Amino acid sequence: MNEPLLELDGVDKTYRFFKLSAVALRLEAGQIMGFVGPNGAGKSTTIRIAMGMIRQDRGTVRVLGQPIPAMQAVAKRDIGFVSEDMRLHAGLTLDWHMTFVSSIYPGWDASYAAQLLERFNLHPEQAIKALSHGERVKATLLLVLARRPRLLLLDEPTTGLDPVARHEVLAELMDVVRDDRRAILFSSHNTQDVEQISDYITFIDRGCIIDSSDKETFLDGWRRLHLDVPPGATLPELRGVVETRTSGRLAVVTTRAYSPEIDAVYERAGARVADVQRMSLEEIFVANVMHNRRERVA
Amino acid sequence: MHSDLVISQTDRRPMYLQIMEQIRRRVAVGDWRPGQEIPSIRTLAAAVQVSVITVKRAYLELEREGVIVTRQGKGSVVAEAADLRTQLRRDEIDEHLSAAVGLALQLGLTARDLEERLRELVEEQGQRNENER
Amino acid sequence: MNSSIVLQLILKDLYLVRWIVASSLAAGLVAIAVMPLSGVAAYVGGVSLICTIVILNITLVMSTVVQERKDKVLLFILSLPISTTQYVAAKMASNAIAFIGPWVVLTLAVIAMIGSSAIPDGILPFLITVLVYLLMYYCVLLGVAVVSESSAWHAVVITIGNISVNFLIPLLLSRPSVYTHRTGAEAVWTGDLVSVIAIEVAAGVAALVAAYFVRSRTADFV
Repeated sequence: MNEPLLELDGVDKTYRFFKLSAVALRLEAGQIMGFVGPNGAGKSTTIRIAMGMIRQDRGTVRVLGQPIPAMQAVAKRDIGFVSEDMRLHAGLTLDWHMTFVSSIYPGWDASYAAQLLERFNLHPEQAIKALSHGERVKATLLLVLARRPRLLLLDEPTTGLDPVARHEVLAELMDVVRDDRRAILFSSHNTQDVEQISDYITFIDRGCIIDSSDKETFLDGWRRLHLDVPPGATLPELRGVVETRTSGRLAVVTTRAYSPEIDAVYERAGARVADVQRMSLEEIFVANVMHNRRERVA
Repeated sequence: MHSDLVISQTDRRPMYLQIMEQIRRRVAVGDWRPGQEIPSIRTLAAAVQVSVITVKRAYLELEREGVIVTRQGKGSVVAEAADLRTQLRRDEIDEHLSAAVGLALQLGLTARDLEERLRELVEEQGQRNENER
Repeated sequence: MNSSIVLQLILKDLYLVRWIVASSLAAGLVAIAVMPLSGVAAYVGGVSLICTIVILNITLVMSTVVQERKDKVLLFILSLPISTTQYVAAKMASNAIAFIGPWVVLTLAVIAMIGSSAIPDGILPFLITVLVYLLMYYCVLLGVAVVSESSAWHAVVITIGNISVNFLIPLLLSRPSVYTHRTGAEAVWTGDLVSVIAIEVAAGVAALVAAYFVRSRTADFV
């Protein structure tokens, strides 16, 4: 299967106070992509465009080989969508919802559903309105996971969950990609979850994709160098340096394109490399966004 | 079997290195024997809850080191090399010793200082082991 | 397969409003039953019947269309394998069935009651005209709710609808065609009443069709 499960190209969407510009995304089978961005960056809008709930002003959207929004009904047969602000029928029970969903999707796996009820500690006879926030999120995920859809589009699936619930959810998500024909796109501002299970990561800020790459490349390429710069020495301008902060003799250089040769370049310029630190995904994310915003203003 | 690999969140080392170390350790102590099949990349990824790409990288590196062998379409096994266990244990000690050497040099200690200190520590450890018996 | 999902959604909506429908039907039938008892009873029963139908109208539209949107249950429904057009169709169909079903039953009950009781048949055309007006009112409210999220517009339609019913009744009663025949033993369908009924039906259908098309063209559902 060479066709990507999800493909957005040049997608624009303009609202009164917000504009999504030239969004491009590509998700292949077997992959988990983390979609990271500050609040209001456009993550939800992008995912809803992929689901055909919002129509793009420009650009092409193909999901499971179907053009969206034209063929959304066909595509959605094999997509599982969960959004943090989505609600189920409050007055009805989880059991009712399970029956309803299983009658619509032939792929419903009743024994897996039973396992998930157990693992998530949910009681099917309970009315949705009686569930806590975390239980409601898990219930919504259960309805989606038990159908075993090929593609999962999850908008903030772990937001608001306690650490135990998050652990349970991540375990089920990782279980999905044991099948290399399935894939997951999930948006989050919990960079820890993204860092742990994502194969690919896309950063978005203020309606624009600012970076997209596989996780290992990100983690390998970004570094903070702590330099001791004696008076008289000047730091060379290196490609890939995103920020340089100086205070007295000390300088902290943040770079996105690190290689050990860089140490040598700085040393030759007279500076001493005191420390080279790896950056967590959270630090990379913040540095990337800040840098991008500065560039955009310039 | 493979579910007892644990990735630490606070360990600043990259996840793929942690995975590699834990697999090497299992081979070194003999829990995973030469020729034994090891879990597929996706199975291990799901068991450890770490992205597939990271496990893939760990397996690739381990193969380059000769610790495991990946057969086309048939998964991976622990390499057959006879002295693999001993070699891995030596590698692990070397890693720790190199780190100690590096630190010593930074602190300005000489090789002789280091040797002496090492001897003292071995003695102290020996004493402790005696006392425990 | 898709048509079965639309059917499932319709059935689901009907299931959700079953108590509203059942109680309105019951209340309406009781109101009709008391009408033949006396002059006062006829008046009280008639007014109660109209109120019941109007309440059914408003409650149905508010609880299904408006509430589902506010509650974000819309996102759950739209995540199912349906197009946005099918969603609109299912929503309008279930709502229409939930209203028109009881409306038809109550209208038939009125006809049967008039036919079998002491109340003169001559009043029937007037009653039917009012009932069809209520049907049109329902169509307009549903159409507006489907198209607009603004509760201000819903309030406007409800206010105009309720007030207009109050004006419609004396207006109709004062028309010579109604006034002269209202105590007669036979129902006389004069041209003006028939055309009023025709206009009401046409307006109702137009409101629904227009709403369906407008909403289907909407690009953004959330």
